[in-house]
Amino acid sequence: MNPQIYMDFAASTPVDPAVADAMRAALQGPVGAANPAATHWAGEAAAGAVDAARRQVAALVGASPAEIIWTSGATESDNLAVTGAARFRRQLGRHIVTTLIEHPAVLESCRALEAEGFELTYIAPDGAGIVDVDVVAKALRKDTILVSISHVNNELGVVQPIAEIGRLCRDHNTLLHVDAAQSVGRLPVDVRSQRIDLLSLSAHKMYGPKGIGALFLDRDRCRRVQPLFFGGGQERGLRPGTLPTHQIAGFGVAADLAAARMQDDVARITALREQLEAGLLAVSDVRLNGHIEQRACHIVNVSVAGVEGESLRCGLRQVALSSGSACAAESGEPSSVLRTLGRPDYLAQASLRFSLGRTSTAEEVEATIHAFRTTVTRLRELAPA
Amino acid sequence: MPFARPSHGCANWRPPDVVYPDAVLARFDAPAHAGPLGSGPGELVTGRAGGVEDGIDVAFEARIDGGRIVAIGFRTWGCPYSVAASSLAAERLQGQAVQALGEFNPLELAPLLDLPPERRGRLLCIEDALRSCWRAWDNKRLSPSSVSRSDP
Repeated sequence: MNPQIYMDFAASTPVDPAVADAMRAALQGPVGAANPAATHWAGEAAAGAVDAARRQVAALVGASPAEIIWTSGATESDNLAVTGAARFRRQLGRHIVTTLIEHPAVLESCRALEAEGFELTYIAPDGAGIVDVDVVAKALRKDTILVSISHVNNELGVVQPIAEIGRLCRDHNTLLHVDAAQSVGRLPVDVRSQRIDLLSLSAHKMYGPKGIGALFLDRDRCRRVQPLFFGGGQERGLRPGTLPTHQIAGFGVAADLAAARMQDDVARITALREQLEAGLLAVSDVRLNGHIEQRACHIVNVSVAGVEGESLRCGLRQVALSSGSACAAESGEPSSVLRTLGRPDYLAQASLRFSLGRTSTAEEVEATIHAFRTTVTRLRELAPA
Repeated sequence: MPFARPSHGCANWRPPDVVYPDAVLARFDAPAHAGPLGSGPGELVTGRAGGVEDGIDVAFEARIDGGRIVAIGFRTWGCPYSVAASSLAAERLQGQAVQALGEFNPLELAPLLDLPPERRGRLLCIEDALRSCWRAWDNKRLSPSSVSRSDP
């Protein structure tokens, strides 16, 4: 039996032991027992833990604690940001700009808004997955109320020029929403210098627990959005619901660790990525997807000619990774991100996303390269000439 | 074209990985009858069907001697079900009378591989490739001068 290897850190990361310790502590005693909204002494203790985490998460992205709203994760943050900002500002305009390679949480939110009468402009990136700032500028209209672009694309790992787009949006007096689920802890994120008005975060992408995320709302430019939920006053009424103290406490510690370890993590993961990439690209007719330099440290996305995608993934099943494709058994539909980049369907369907993380090792990378080379060679030999 | 509509709603939605039955995994990992046939007795016939657009590209080689399929090999580009079905079809046909190339119904393999209904088209391509082998044999039989016998 080949060793099982985890290379899907872009999908989710393991909970750091220090995070788990903080969560365990937050589940016990009065902090664990109390509702943070309660006004008695136990509730105040729980609220104190929530406030501490809010400071930690805010510090990670250069925000003020009061600008952080807790959510269930980046998907909810994206939904709240896009639909909430658009609906709240509908009197100012009905045009929104996004890209064709956004996360479904953004694209599906945009679709919902289209059904409500909003107009969307979907920008196609260049062949390397990068969004051209000039193209964004051309897409902006007088009635554009929101631009939504992810910092790091979750499939390709490419980094978008957020600071430039932020400057453009400020000049145009348009809100900028950024999904930073893949970038926080891997790239510097600073909402002030990058002029970001709304920022989506997810704990489980940065060694925190699943089920907790956050939305940054700039206090001056986007103080309110239309909520998705109703029925409580928590989070200024923007996201009502009892706060999960233990998850929030875990997110806070994960944010602290991300800030403290980012430099070492990036150096180490970049070296592993280069090792992995060299091994994968040494196999003939393997092509890297995405910009070769303008990308985050943890993702390698490749297309493999001459093999069928499902068999490629099956041959590599001891490695936990994601396909670069959306090849459904039913639909056979390849990834629209790779299609947008101009990859033909047969190549988009035979694409893999490897993503590395804090616990990845050089031995795992070597074993993955060996499994990849063996599988690709075998499948090519198996195919008709 | 910098502005466009998304090709579908979910830009990078992906389904959970398909979980394959043991019968499929065993034949995918170590397929019997894979690869081209070496030299041997009898006459060699080949047949190929499908293509990338069909999700399977499959080719069979069969060596016929004394009216029987004495050796059969396949090459397949396709999903694990396609590889397993090609291998299983070859297993079934090895040693059969040559007429089996034209009569074998790969759909009978579906329950053995727990084949999802949407993958049945792959079996039809396997059937086409085997029928193509049969036609090649038939043509050779009717045109004896064109039959080439390979060395034992």
